Amino acid sequence: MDTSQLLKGVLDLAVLAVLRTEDGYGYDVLRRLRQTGLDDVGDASVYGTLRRLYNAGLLTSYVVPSEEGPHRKYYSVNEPGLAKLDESSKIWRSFADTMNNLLREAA
Amino acid sequence: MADIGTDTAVASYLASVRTALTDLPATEVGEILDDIGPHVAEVAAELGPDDQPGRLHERLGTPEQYAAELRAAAGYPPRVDAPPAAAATRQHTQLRLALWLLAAATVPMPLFAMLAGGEEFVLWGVLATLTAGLSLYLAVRAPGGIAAMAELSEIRWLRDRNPGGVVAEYGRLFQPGWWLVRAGVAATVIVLLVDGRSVLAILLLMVPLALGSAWVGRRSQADRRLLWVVLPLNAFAFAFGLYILSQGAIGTIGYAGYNGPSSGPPTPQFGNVYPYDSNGKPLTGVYLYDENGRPITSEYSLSYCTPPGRVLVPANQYPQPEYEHDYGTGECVVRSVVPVPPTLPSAQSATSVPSGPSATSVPTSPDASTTALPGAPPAAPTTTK
Repeated sequence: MDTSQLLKGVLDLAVLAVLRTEDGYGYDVLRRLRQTGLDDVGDASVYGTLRRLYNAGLLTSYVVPSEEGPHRKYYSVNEPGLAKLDESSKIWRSFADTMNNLLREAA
Repeated sequence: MADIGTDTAVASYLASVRTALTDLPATEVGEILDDIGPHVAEVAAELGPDDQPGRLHERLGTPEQYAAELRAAAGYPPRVDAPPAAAATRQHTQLRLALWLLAAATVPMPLFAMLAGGEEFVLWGVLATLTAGLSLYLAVRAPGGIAAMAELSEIRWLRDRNPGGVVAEYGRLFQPGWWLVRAGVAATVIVLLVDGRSVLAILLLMVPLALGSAWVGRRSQADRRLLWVVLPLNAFAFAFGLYILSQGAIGTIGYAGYNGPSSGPPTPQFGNVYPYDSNGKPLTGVYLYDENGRPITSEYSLSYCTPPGRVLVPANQYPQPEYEHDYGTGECVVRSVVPVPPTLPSAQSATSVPSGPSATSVPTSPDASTTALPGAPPAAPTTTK
């Protein structure tokens, strides 16, 4: 099964979860998502998702100068972002439980 | 680490992404590039210096694909393609110009022609023909052609004000009648141009013209290009119809241009002159002069109608013979004149109630009795020339 299709629906949740653990800049978020096993996540999709969450008021950003190369723009989850993450987590768990039950019955 | 080749490849890649996002607000594009700039640079550094552009594309996709994926994930509106939009603007400008040129040939030009009349009518007609021709050329050459004209805001505005095609319905109702009127005007124009004034000829000409008019009317509903001919022509036909009506009788139209003040002796605004002597006896062969000795001529000297064997009389000899156009035969005949019976100045004892020249025919020969010349003429009139 192509996980990239599944990812589309939960990328918001994944990005919020990664950023709650620790603030990060774009490539950093991407790398951490891949490290957790989401190999199919697209580079541009992550950046697009960051911009959408930011524009929705769920993230704040700040710039950290870098000694080598260009400065980096870090994102962090704010209060509305945390609330959103909480809510989305519940929906996800309920959804995953439903799917798990369904698949167990079918097995 | 980052050598010149890497920087160039990264800059080029980012520039292409930026181009693909130009429809977004500039600040948003700036934020996006702040995010992806370091990312693309790091990816490029990881890939190593060999064949940077090719490997970047392999790893990240083309800049356009990258931008599209980012756009989808960020929930931006789909791209409004800038280059086609520019082409559409040019197309609209061209079609709009064509539309207004056609409108100019259809509304103000016939109006000006009608107001000016005479020879200027023809000039406005020529100008309108050129204008409509240019308009048709622009409309046909525009991308999308005439059909794309329906998308102009002006046309849509008109359509919005015509719900359910009410105007079109009424148009259909009056169309056959208009086709007939238009044929009548065309027949009149043709008959006037060949210098005839026969109503019979006009009626005969109307038959084929009405058929042709109806055919063009039907065709123009199928082939919209004919609109460029039909609309201005209709307007000019309408204007000419009104012009003819405003000129009164058909017969006078040919000389409409000469009615204005002309050089030479002043032409008084009266028709014929019927002199009487103190006894109320009608006089003939009277010559009129003004205080400067110039002959006083009337409009009858400009009579258009020349009967066979017409004898020319001096333009200031009164009463002038009157001719008229017999619409039955198409010939010129001497007109029967019954002028208003004069009421002579009251100092006159009522010797006899003057009966005006209730003549059924007025003498046409110049050598008619020159009984009374009231006062000496300033110069001896030369009679027949």
